[in-house]
Amino acid sequence: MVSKNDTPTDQELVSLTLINPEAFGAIMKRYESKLRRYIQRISRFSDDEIEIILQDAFIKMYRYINDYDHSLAFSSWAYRITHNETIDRIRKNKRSEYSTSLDDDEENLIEKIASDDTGIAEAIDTEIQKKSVLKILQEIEPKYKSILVLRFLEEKSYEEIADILKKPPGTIATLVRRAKEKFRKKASEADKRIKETL
Amino acid sequence: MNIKENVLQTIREKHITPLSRWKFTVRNGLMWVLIYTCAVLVIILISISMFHLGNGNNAIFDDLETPMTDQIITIIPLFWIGTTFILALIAFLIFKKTVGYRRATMHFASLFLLVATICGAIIYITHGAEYLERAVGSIPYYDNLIPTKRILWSHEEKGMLGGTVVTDSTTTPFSMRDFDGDIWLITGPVYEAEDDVVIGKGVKLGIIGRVVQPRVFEAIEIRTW
Repeated sequence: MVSKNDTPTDQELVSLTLINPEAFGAIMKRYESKLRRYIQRISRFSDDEIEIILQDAFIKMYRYINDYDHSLAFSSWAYRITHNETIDRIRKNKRSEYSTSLDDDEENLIEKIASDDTGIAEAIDTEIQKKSVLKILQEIEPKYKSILVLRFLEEKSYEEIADILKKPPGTIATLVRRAKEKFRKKASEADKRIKETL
Repeated sequence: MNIKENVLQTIREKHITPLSRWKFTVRNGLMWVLIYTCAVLVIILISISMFHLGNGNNAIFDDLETPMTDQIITIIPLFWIGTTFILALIAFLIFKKTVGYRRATMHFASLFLLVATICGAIIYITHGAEYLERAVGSIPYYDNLIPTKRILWSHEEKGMLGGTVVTDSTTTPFSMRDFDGDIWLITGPVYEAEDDVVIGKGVKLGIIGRVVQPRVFEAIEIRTW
């Protein structure tokens, strides 16, 4: 049941969970920090709220574990459930933003997007923009924010994002392009504002 | 207590268990049944639409000197085309929202419509659509949904009378109720009839002939509905 290197795969842990619920603990341990960080990035909820969302997401995963399609990566399925829980909570609360500090990855978001699209690097002053990433992200519509976070911060492939958001890969490619354009526009505007104030 | 412990404790305390696999199997099965049902209905509806478009009404319209625009509005089976479109859309959305998002859905939809049109054409060419049309014609209020024939066969002054036989006769003379509810006596000792015409109570017919007296219509040709 367990793979050769003694570290069970996600699929193996799913099978074990159906026999012994305690095995689900290993899945949670494996994904807790990643999913927590993802919720934080797309919602900016407080730590307490993130904790509740994450718990709800894990309980949902456990209840629906027989619905998990083994042709998908388990991580995509876990991200999908977490994403949906977060979006539901955002809709219920009518707020999605909560001020937090940037982590290293987020500070490097511009470089990450720029490495994918040289136009952005030309359009903005990267050093100044580092300070405005959070504000820029907050100004972007949630669906584009999710796309930017999944692609450039979570570093998911188009196929993985397609599985998480249940949209065709072609649509994801279009959304990524639009999200980058939106980010570039917002970043450029922020850049001008900052330069004017200096 | 960390999240992992919290969740495991909640699972233990609330006796939460994974939902049975069969529930998801049934749900997925129903989804495919719905998709296949929609697909079959789309094929049937395409064949019926073709039947309505190509069942030779054009010549009769010419005889009735109906303007081209009225002909087009009357002939186009909007009900069937609309129903086909809605069912195809439902099948497409179910497919796209469930398993289809990972596939080239538009290519799949285009291919599906092509195959459905070919299958529908085969059913029409082999006269299957005619039988299907008669089958759905027995559905109550169907005539209200498909006004084409009613309009076409409500021109007794121009020799076109349609309706439902109300007597037990198997030949002329017999009585027929037209679409306005008026009862007509159908006469005509010599008339042409399509091979499969069966005259009997409750049967719908289209009759070509002439008005010889008020509410008396002499049949020259009797057609199946």
